[in-house]
Amino acid sequence: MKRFVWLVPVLYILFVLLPIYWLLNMSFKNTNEILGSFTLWPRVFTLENYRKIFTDPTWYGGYLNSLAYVLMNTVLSVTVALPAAYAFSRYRFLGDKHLFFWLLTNRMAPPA
Amino acid sequence: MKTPNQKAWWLVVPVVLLVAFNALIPLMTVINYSVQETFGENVFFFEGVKWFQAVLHSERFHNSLQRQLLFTGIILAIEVPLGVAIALAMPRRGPWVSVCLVLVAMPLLIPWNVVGAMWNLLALPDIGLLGRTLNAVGIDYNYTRQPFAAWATLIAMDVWHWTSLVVLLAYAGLSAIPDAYYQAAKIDGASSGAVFRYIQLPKMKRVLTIAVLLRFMDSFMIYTEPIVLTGGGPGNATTLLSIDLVKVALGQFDLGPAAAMSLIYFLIVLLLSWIFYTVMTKDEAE
Repeated sequence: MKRFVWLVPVLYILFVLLPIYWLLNMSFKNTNEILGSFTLWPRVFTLENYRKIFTDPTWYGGYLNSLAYVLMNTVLSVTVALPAAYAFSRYRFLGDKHLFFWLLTNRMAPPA
Repeated sequence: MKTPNQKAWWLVVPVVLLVAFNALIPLMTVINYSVQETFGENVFFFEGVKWFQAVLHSERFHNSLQRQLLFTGIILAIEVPLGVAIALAMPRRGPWVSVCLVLVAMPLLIPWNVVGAMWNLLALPDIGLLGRTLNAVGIDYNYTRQPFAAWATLIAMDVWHWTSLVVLLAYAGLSAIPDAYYQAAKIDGASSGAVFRYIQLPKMKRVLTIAVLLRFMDSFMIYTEPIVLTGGGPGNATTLLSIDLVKVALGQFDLGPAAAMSLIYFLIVLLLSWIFYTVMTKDEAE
C-alpha cells in the first residue's frame, strides 16, 4: 500500500489541472470551434482572443484599474499594518487580545 | 516571551483608526437602516425591531440559512479530511516537493469569478469537458436545470478551489514535526495509524483549527462563485445567504429588511467564529 501513496497527490493534481487545461484550451480556439464542435485540443490554433484583449481598451482597461487599486491598497494597508503587527507580536498591552479579535471580525463581515 | 508594554498602543493606533473609519461607519449605517422605514426622499421613520422579527420569522431566510449551513457542512466534511490525506501522501523531501507544492497551490491564485467562469465552461452540458463526458457515459447532467447537479457542481468547484489551502496548512504542520518523533515511534514499533493518531494529528491541531476557521468563514460568505456558476438557480436551489441578501437589498431595494438580515448574518458568523477562536486560544494556554 505504501508503494502507491504517490498516486494520491498525482490524482489530486490532475483534478486541479483539468479545469485550468480546459480554460487554456478554449482560449486558443475560435468561436466557431467552441460552439460548433467538441474537441479536446484546438484544431485551429489561434491567438486572436489574446490579441483582442491586449489591444481593445474596454478589455485591458479593467486590468489597469485593478493594478492601480492594488497598488494604493497595498501601500495603505502595509503602512498601517506593519507597526500594529510588530506591536501584537512583541508586546503585551491592555486589551490586546480583544483588539486582535475585533480586527479579525472585519474579515468575517459578509462582502455582500 | 512577550514583554508587557502599554506604549505599544501607539503602534496599533493607525490601523485601529483606519479600520474604525472603514468598518464602523458602514456598520452604523446598516444599523440605522435596520430599525427604520423609508418611503423615499430620505424620510425615515423609527420602526424598532420590526425588521428583525420579520426576517427571523420569514420562511425565505430559514431556507437560505439551511442551504448555507448544508453547503458549509458538506464542504468542511470533504475538504478537511481530503486535505489532510493529501498532505500525508505528499513527498516529504526530494525534488518533487516543490513541484507538488506549486501545482497544488495553483487554484488558490485564481480569482473567484474566474473560478466560477472556468467551472461554468467545464460543466456546460454541450461544450464543457465535464458536462459532455457525464452525458456521454449516460448520466443525465445539466446543472442549469437540475438542482442536484447544480449542488454537485458547486461543491466540486469549492473543493477544487479550497482543498489546496487545507493541504498547504496541514503540510506545513507536518513538516514542522522533528524526525526524532518518527524515530522514537519506530523504536516503539508503533503502527502508522498510531503515528497519525498520537504524533501527526496533535501536531497538526493548531493549523487545522485555523484551516477550519478560515474555510468556515469564507464558505459561509461565498457569493461570487455560485452567482457566476448558477446565479442562485435553478429556482432558488443554490441561493445561499449572501446571494439572498443581495437579492433583497439591491434587487428589491428593501433596505430595512436587508440591513436587519445582514446584521443577523454577521452575528451568526461572529458567534460561530468566536467559538472556534476561544477553543483555539484555550488549547494554546494549556
